[in-house]
Amino acid sequence: MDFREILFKKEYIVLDGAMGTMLQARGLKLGGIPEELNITNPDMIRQIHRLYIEAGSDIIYTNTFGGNGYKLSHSEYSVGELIGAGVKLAKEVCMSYEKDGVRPLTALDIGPIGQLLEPAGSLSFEQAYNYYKEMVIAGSDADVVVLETMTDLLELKAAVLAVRENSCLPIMCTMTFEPNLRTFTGTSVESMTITLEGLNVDAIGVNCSLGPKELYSVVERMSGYTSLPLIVKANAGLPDPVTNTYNISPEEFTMHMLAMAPFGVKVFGGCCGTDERFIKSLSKGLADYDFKAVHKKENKKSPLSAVCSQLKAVSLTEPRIIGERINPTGKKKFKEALLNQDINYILNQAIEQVDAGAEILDVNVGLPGIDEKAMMVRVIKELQSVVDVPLQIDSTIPEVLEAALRVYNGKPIVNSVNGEEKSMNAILPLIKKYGACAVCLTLDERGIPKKAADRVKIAEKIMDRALSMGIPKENIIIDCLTLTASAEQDGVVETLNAVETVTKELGLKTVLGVSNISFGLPNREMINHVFLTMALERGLTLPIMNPNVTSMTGAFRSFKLLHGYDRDSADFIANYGSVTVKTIAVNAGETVTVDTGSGNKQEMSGVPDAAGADKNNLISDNPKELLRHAMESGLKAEGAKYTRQLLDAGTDSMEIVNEILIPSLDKIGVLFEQGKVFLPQLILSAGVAQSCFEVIKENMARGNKKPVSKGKIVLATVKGDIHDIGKNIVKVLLENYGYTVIDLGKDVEYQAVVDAAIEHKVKLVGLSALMTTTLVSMEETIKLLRKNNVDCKVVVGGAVLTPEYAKQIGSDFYAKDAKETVDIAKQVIG
Amino acid sequence: MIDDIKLTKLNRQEGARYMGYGENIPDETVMKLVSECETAILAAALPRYIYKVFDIRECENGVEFLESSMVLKGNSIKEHLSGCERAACICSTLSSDMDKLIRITQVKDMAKAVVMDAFAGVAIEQVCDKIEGKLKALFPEKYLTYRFGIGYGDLPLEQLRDFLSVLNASKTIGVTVTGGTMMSPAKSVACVIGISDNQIKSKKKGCITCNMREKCQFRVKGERCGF
Repeated sequence: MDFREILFKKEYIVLDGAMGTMLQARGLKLGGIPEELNITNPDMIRQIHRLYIEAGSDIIYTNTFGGNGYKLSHSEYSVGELIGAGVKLAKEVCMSYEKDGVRPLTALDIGPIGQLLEPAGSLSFEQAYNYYKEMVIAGSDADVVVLETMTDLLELKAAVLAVRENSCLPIMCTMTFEPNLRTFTGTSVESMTITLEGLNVDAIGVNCSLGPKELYSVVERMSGYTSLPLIVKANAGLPDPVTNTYNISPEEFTMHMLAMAPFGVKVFGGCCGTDERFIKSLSKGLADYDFKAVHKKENKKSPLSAVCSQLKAVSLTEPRIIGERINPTGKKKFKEALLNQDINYILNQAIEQVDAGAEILDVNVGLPGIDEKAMMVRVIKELQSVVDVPLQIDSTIPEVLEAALRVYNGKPIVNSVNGEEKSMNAILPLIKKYGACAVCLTLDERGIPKKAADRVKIAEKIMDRALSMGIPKENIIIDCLTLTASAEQDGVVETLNAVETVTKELGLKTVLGVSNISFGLPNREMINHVFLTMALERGLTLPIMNPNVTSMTGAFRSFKLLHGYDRDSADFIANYGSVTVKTIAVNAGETVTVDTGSGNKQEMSGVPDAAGADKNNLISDNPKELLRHAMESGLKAEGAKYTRQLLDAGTDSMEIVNEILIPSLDKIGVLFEQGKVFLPQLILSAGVAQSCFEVIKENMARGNKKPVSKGKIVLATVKGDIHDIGKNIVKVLLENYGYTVIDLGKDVEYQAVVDAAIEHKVKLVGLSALMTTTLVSMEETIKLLRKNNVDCKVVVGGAVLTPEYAKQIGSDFYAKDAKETVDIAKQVIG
Repeated sequence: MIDDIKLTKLNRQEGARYMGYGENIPDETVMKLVSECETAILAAALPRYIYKVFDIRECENGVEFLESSMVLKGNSIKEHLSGCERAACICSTLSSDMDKLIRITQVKDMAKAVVMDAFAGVAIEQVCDKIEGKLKALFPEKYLTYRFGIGYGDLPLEQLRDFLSVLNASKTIGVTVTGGTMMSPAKSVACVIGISDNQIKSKKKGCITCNMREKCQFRVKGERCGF
């Protein structure tokens, strides 16, 4: 019987116990490479396999857990040799126990690579994939692959894809959870379950870290999200930190393991601290256990309609806001950010929307002139390191969608597929393979049908096709398409009717881009807000909207409260409970009267600036003075306020920049050099300048004037280095002196620096490195710039650099801090 | 893995020193950031640590950790552990949420991120102080050295990988090392404390044993980092 047969036919399956514990008991030193024993001492490994099989194991794990290219880089044996030998050994032992065509099975055991994936670490998804691919190919003679002790869902996903795309073997996956029901990297039980169910693996579960008693809550939660067979391979209790011995007996272990059977656990085994005695006790316990008597779960529980990030699952059983702001359409600043690779701008848009109430974020980075695939992958990777919400990948190009689906950590939504044959053929297979949800547009080769009934027909067509491919109904989300009321007034009702029919008759979730409705009309906010409420009432699940518009989010939250989704109004109160208090605070604040310079006094509500606008000591009521004061005291909101006042009063923007902002920055820079002010204050002032520049830029954009840039500078934290706070400080300061910074991020390939320097024709490249070990990368990057004859100067900085070393590696300048980098930029660019 | 350490407050003076203030006191605006960061760090940090105590033996090129395959190399570690029969290998971390908090803050507010980064540094050192306290309690009759970080003196930073592997740190507390020999999560510490039956000759921590001494920003200002 093969793995899938025994999984289907047997009431339970017994795995083996720990390998490491057995090896250490037999003399393996800490820090040694256990996989080498497959060649240097195969008898020891055989003996362990036999002990487990004789104790009752149906499946044994090969001694290949850490046999990946990274961990074996110091070994004299190759991955192929050690894994090949490990699988061969295990298989031979299994064969020797064959009886009536049944034998124990061999699981190719694969653990984590041992490095964290980017952006937290420096290992790329593709590198992780390749390490796993190498292991899978070397171990393809096994009966099943087990991916175990995983802590990062994305790394696990890379491994699952590597198995899928390089073998036909079934897959078991287990992750390691902490008492807080998360893995070390934060993966939640729900996210793991939803994502792996989507990826269509054979069995999922938990191993290591805790004893069986502590895993109870993990397994209970997991069982609520899946109908897949569950695996538990627990430790022998908890280890003593000093002696490293585990604290429960085989009998106690068995008792707690059996208690998890009612949750749908079908595969049982032992991890750290367990040996053959535990497996023997477990086998006996399972043989005596009355599986028929336990309350069996329904055989086919319908999968949950939900999406997730690594950290957070969002069920689609109630309305959720999808934030629409990560999209360059009609947004000048966003376009500029994409062209300049200003990822921070995009991340800021994301954080702002999440803070405002978005529960899912749409991500669209399509713009002529940029490499959409590369940008999409970069943005997805960066976004998932700063926001917890699930993402909706938005592109018209299948290659872009697939590249993003691969590196997405969780279960995303894909936006979109439509009723055209071409679209369904290209997109639906991706939805199936990566287990995503799909936004399905109700249009086809003939365009958008006018009537609701015809849109519903297209929805039905896409649904039938998806179902026939094995995509569950829960993953299908229909977009009945919002037409603008100004152009097609009668279409509004058709859209709403279609939403209702799709919801009630097809039983599918729906999505609508809300803001389109008011295009071309005045008071758009009002129309959007009423349309949103109307659509929600008709059954809309996912409005795509701007959550930063408070009236929209307010309407949405009110709807959820009034409809009983928001139980006890908890979410509503959490969001608005303090609003009244805030209003009182405003009223109670003093009223500051500010002279705008044009003769008309303007009244400002005096919200006391928590940062300490010292009203008793106002230097002057002249906004220029006030702006200077704000700059020097690090008062961001004030800075923007006074800049706006000056502009409104007709002050020229360049005058503000050249006479106030830059001199103030210079002054603080000098004080910083003199040790009279310190880094946080320098950056605070830069932050104020930034907010002033924002106001100025907006003003220029309104007047159709192009903001003036002093020139472009490429910045990068060099390859291998993942600490970029220093580089980011430099960036803030440079930008405030009017330079456009092309920020390549951290861990940047040598070639990427060269390419950017050439593409943007920069005169100055800034490189940062924090560690002695990454200074080499700095040198290599400079060499490559010189080799390519890039006509630019190079400035370097970082904690371990010295002026001498900077010279030695071929740089033109050494900057000891951010301020000095600005001085160098002035010298080089002007 | 042990996670019994909880921080309740952070040493503000130390944090100010990390930000380059020396003996100066940050102004009101910065102090407000400090308060916000302290609250955020105490909420996000999930201190975890692992240690193992080994019998040790000096060898030609360094110090052997018996019952493991590790030899820590160089004269600095030899000197640090001379006269010690045993040594505790320690790794501690504030866990990945702390890194994330710093990343998010960098996007939202760079000045706050500078403060956050400095105070997260203070937090991990305070965690180490507590671990050291626990070791002292565990070996009440013995004498302990100061914490010697991997990469100090001539002990190669490249040995970090072996060190973490001996502690099984990736599996036990989720600390891994990147290709560039940096720990991830970033706010993590790997160090060695020697344990001796006899009073240890005063081996004052100081600039002389530090491999940052030529580039140290504290020294430039005539200050000490506290090492």
